Amino acid sequence: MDRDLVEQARRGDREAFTVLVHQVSDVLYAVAFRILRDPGLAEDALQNALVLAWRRIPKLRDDDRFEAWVHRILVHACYDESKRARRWTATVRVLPVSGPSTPDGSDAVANRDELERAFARLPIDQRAVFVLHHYLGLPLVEVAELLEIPAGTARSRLHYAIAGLRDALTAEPESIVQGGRLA
Amino acid sequence: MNDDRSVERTARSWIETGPTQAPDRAVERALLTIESTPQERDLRIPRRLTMLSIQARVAAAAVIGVLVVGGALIYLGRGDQSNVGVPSPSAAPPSSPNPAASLSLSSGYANVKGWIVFEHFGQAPDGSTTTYDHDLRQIWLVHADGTNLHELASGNPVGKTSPDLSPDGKTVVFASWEPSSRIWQASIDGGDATLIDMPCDAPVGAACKLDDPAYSPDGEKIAFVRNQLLGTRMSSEIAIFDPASRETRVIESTLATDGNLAQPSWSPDGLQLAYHHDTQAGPEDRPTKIRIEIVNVDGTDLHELPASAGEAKAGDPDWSPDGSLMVFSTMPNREGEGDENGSPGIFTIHPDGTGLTDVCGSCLQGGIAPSWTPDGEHILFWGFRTWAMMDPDGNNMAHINQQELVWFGEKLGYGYAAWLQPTP
Repeated sequence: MDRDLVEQARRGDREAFTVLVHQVSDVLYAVAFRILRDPGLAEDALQNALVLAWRRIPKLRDDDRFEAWVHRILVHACYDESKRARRWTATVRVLPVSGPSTPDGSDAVANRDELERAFARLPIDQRAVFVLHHYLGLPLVEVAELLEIPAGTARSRLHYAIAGLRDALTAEPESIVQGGRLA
Repeated sequence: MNDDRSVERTARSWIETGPTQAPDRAVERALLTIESTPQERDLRIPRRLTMLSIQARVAAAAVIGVLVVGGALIYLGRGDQSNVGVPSPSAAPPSSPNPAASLSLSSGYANVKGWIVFEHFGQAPDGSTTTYDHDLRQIWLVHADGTNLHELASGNPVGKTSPDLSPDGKTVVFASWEPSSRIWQASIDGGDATLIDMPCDAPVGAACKLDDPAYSPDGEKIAFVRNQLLGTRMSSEIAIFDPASRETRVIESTLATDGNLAQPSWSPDGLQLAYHHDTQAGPEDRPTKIRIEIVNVDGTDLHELPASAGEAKAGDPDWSPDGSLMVFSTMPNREGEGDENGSPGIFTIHPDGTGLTDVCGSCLQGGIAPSWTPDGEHILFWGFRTWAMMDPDGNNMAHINQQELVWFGEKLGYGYAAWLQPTP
C-alpha cells in the first residue's frame, strides 16, 4: 500500500483515495462476500465501508495500518449488513436440506452445499474470524488486533466456527430444518 | 468429514472459492457517494496543540477583537509609525536572523534575554509562507523581546518537530516530521541540519520511527523514542543513544497496541529519565490513561507519578535544574487527542511523587508544554496563542509579549512547545 496515497487521502485528496479504492476494493469485496455469502449484501457492505473509510480517514493514526484499518471497517459493515439481512430473511422459508451424498459421484457438490448452509448458520463474528484467518491468511494474533478483540477471543471464535461446521455437517439433515427455518 | 481438522481443511478449501473481483457498479457507486461526502475532520489539530474550551475561545476572540480595534486606533493615531504588528504575508523569507522580522514589544517578560526555540506549524510566523499545513512543521527562534525571528535550518528535512536545546546552547536536536521520522541536529547559529544516524532493528522508514530527542545533561548522549515494527509487533521504546560509541540502549518498552512512550526528559544528574506513557485499548483508539513515569537510566526503579486528580492526564515532563521539582501539563501536547487529553493545567511535583501543586490555575487560558528556564527561576509555558512565564510557585504569571497574541492562530499557524536559551 502506497503510504503517500494514504497520507494524501487523509488530507482530503479524493483522487488519491480513488486510487486506494481501486487497490483494495477487490479484496474487500472478496472478504465481504465470504463473510456474508450474498453478493448483494457484500456489495452494500463494500460500498458502505468505502464511504465510511473516506469519512474517517483523517482520524487514521498510522498511515501504515491503512489496510488493517479499512478491513476492520469492512467487517463492521458486514455486521451491519448481516443485521439488516436477518430482518429480511427471518420470514424466508428454507428449502429442505439435500439428502446424503448421491451415488452419482456428486459428493463434492453436496459438501459445498452443506458447507454453504452450515457456514450461513454460524454467528457473523465467527464467520469474520474464519474468513480473515483462512481466506486472508492472517495469523490469529493479527485477526485479533484487526478486530480489536483479545487473541483468546479470536481463537475461541475460530474454534466454535469449526465446531459449528462440524456439527452441522455431521448432523442428520432433518435436524437442520425446524419448522421451515434455520435452527 | 467428522473431525475438526478435516472439517477445517475442507472449509478452508471451500472458502477460497467465490468471487475475487469487486463489481464495477459497487465501486462506482461508492466513489459517486464519496464525491459528495465530506470527511470527518476534528477542528482540533491532530498533534501537539492544546485545545481550549468554547468559553476560552469566545473570551480569546473578544480579547483579540479588543486588541484589533485598539491596535487600529493606535495605528491611525501614530501616522507614519507603521512598522508594527502582524508581519506582511508577502514579506520575503529571511535567510538568516532577521531583525526586520521583529515583533512589537510589551510588558511582562519581554526583557528576558535569550532565544526562545519553538515548534511551529501552518504559515510561517514571519509571513514568508502562506500554506497552512499541519504537517509542515518548522522550528523557529526568536528573542523574548520579539527580535531576530528566524527559522532553524530552513532546508531539509522539510518537517521538523520536537526540538531540544543542547546544554551548551549551541545546537538543537530535533526529529523530522516528513518524509520520515529520524533524528537531526542543527547549529543554533544557522546552517543546514545534519542527520544523526541512529540505528533501528527494523528498516528506517515506515517500520522504524524516531522521535522526541533529548540531550543528556552533559550533552554526550541523546534519549529518544523509537517505534519500530519487529515481525508483526510494533514496539514503542524509550532509548538512549551514545553518538561516540554508536550504542543504543533501550530503557523502557511497550507494545504500540497497548500504548506509547514519549517525551523523555533527563534528570539534571543524568541518572533518571521521566517520560510520558499513554495507554490505549487498541491501536486506533484514543488513549485511556496518560501519565508520567520515572525510571533510572539502567532501567531500574520504574515508578509512576501521581496525576493531579481522578482521571487527569499528565505529560510534558521537565525537571527543574536543581532536580528537586518536576513540572508537567495535564493536557500533554503529545499525540494531540484534543479535549480527551484533559484540561489545560500545569503542576509541579517532587520526583518522589510528593508535593503535587497546581501552580497555574487558568494558565492565562493556555497551559501546556511547560519548561524550566535554565536558571530555574521561572517556568515557560504555552499560553493562549503566545507564551507566558511564571515563578515556580505560579506567582508573577504574565505573557512574555502580549502583542504576539496576533502572531499565532488559525491563519498564521501555531507555535508552541518552546524552550528558552539564555544569551551569554
